Order: sequence, then C-alpha cells, then structure tokens
Amino acid sequence: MEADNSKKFNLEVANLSILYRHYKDYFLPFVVILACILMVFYVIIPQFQQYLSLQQQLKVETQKLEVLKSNYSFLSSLDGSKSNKDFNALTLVLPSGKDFAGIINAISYASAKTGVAVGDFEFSVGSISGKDAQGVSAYPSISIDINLVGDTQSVVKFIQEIYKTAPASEVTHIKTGGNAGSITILFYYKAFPQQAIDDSAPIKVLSAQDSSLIETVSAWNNVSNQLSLPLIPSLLSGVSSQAASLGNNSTSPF
Amino acid sequence: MNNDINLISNQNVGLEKEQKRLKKFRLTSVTCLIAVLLVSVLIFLLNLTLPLQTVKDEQSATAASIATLHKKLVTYTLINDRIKNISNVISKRGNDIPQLNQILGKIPTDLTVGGLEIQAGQISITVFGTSLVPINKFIDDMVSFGAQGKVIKDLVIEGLSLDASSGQYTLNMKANIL
Repeated sequence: MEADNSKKFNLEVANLSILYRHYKDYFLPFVVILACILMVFYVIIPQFQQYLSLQQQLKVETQKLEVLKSNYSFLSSLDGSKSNKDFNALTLVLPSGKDFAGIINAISYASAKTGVAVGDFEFSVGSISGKDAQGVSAYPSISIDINLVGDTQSVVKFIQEIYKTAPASEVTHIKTGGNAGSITILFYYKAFPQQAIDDSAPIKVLSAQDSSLIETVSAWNNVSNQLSLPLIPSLLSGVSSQAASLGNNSTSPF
Repeated sequence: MNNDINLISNQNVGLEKEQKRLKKFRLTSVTCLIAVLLVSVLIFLLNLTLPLQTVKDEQSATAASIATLHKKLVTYTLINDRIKNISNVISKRGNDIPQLNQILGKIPTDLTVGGLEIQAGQISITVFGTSLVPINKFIDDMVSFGAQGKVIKDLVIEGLSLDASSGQYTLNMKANIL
C-alpha cells in the first residue's frame, strides 16, 4: 500500500516536472503581465487619482490667487482719503453706538433752521446690552420724545429737516395743536460687524446705487463738527437765518 | 499517398505553433511592461509639473502685499456694511410727511388746524372755521384723495360741531395714510 502511495507521489512530481519543463518559457511573461496588472491597480490608478485631485486643488488655488490679485489691484487703486471721507459721512448717518451728542446736535440744528423752539425732551435709551431693537426693523434705536413750540407747518418743516440730518431717524408719532406739538423720533444706530475681515474674500465693489446713496447721505445736514446750537428760543431767531443759509444746498433723501 | 513519406511531421507543426504562441505572449508581456512604465512615468511627471507650489507662493506674496493695504480693506468693508444698513433703514422707515403736506395743502385758508396727530399710519385732524363752505371743500378734496387711491386709503368723519358762542364749526376727521 505504502509502495503504491510513494509511486503515485513520484508520478505527480514527475507530472509537475514535465509540466514545468513544458511551460517554463511562459512563466516569466506571465509574471510580468501579472506585475503590470498589479501596477495598474496599485500605482497608476492612485497616481492618476492624485493627479486629478491636485488639478482640482490647483484650480481652487488659482481662483484664490485671482481673487487676491483682483483685491490687491482694487485696493491699490482705491483713493484712501475719499474712502475715509465716505466712511466718516456714513458713520455719522448710522453710528456704531448711541450717539447722544449727534442726536442733540441734529435736534438743535433742525430747531435753529426751522425756527421751531424745542421744549422738554426725554430719551428712552433702551437696553444697554446692544441687542435692543425697536421700531419697524431689527435696528437698535434711541427713542426721544420732544415738545416743540410752533404751528403745524413749522413742526412739519422740523420733521423734514430731521429726516435729512445725520444720524438717520424715523418720526413715529406726531401730535400738534395750536402753537405746540410733540413728536417721537427714533434715532438708529448699528454696531460694526465683529467678524475678522478675510483678505482672500472677494471685495464687493460699490454699485452706482451705493455711490448715489453715499452722495445723498453726504449731503445731509451734518453738525458733528459744529458747535451745538443753543435751545433757548430767544437765541433761535438769530441763528436760524444763518443755519438756513448753511443748509440751502442739502438734498432730501425722498 | 503514404504518410510515412511526408517529410514535415505533425509534431514539428505543433512545435512551431507553440513557438509562435510563446513569442506573442512574450511580446504582450513586454508591451504591457513598457506601457505601464510609460504611463506611470508620464503621470508622475504630470504630477510634478503641476504648478501648485508656484501658485501658493504667489498667493503668499499677494497676501503679504494686501496686508500693507489692510486699513483700506477694513475701511472699504465697513463702508459696504454701513451702506447696506443705511439703505435698509431708509427704505424701511416710515415717512408720512409727503402725504401730510398734501393734506395740509388742501386746507382752505379760511380754516385753521386745531389739532393733528399721526401714529402708525393713521392721521387724525381737527380743523375749524366760521363757514361751512371751506369745510365742505376740504371734505370734498379729502374724499377725492381717497377715491383716487392716493394719499389716504379711507376717510372717517368723526364729528362736525358748531360752537354757538364763538360761531365756529369744528370738523374732526380720521384717515389711514397710504
């Protein structure tokens, strides 16, 4: 039995040996083809994927570079002094915080220009957390109730003047009767955005409409650099003619 | 014909076929190897030639240049922010003055405004005078505003009274401003 098994094994080895001798010339090309297939899967395909990924990355980076170059070119050609001037004018129209001095000045100026005497007035400061919002919009505002001395036409003129005087305001209540009246005005303000400015973000170039708005609000009455005018009625007649001559070239926003 | 006299044996024909097959197989393997090597080297070179690092270097240089203009960038960004907000405030704030001026312009000179109140788009007005004719004209003009759909939406006459001692007629009206 054992002799049979040994004979069978010897026969199989002999067969394999014959097969090897017969196909040994195919062995090397077969290994080469197998290696090629493995290389395709393990080298070429990953390399190609990397190439595609790099190309995508290059596209993104090139776009970023274009934005940066465009930003640089735009900023280089930007007139710094005009920007500062526009920024100051816009900040006076919509201050970043509660601008009490600006409000008092605006009321004084409108009073002097229209000849309407301002009586008592009362501020409602609102929340000091910076999250207060009154009026029609989400913009924080300071509400002020003012008593005025003047007829209806004078009160209307006073309101018209306030509407084209910085800071931006809204009259929410008007009441007149005889020679006196009272109005409620909201003076708006808005804090500057807190997030960091990204140099690589595309700069939004001002549209014609934006430039027109800057021109309009720059022409508003702006008394920030002038002395606050007195609210005493006896002094108003003296200053009103002067103020009227100052404000003749102002442009109404409406 | 006898097969014994055929000089080309079947065995030699088979061997030749096998030699050809082997040759083809070898050629295929060499072709594969060359193709794989070529493609691999080509992709490697393509990867190397992508100017990613150059672009990044240029980005850094441009960003450094922009950093010198950062103040301008901040100012310009804040200008954009202010414009957006001012535009919103101006477009959303109520302004009843043009309508009020039109209403006041229609009050005849014989009448006097006794009182006026505007709140939340509603106007209440009191006028008085010694004759009913100007009061009638004023009411007609106001009705005309309402009918034309300009200045006011509606009109309510709240009262028309006569003070016998002074001989004055008083008209109270209420309207919603457009």
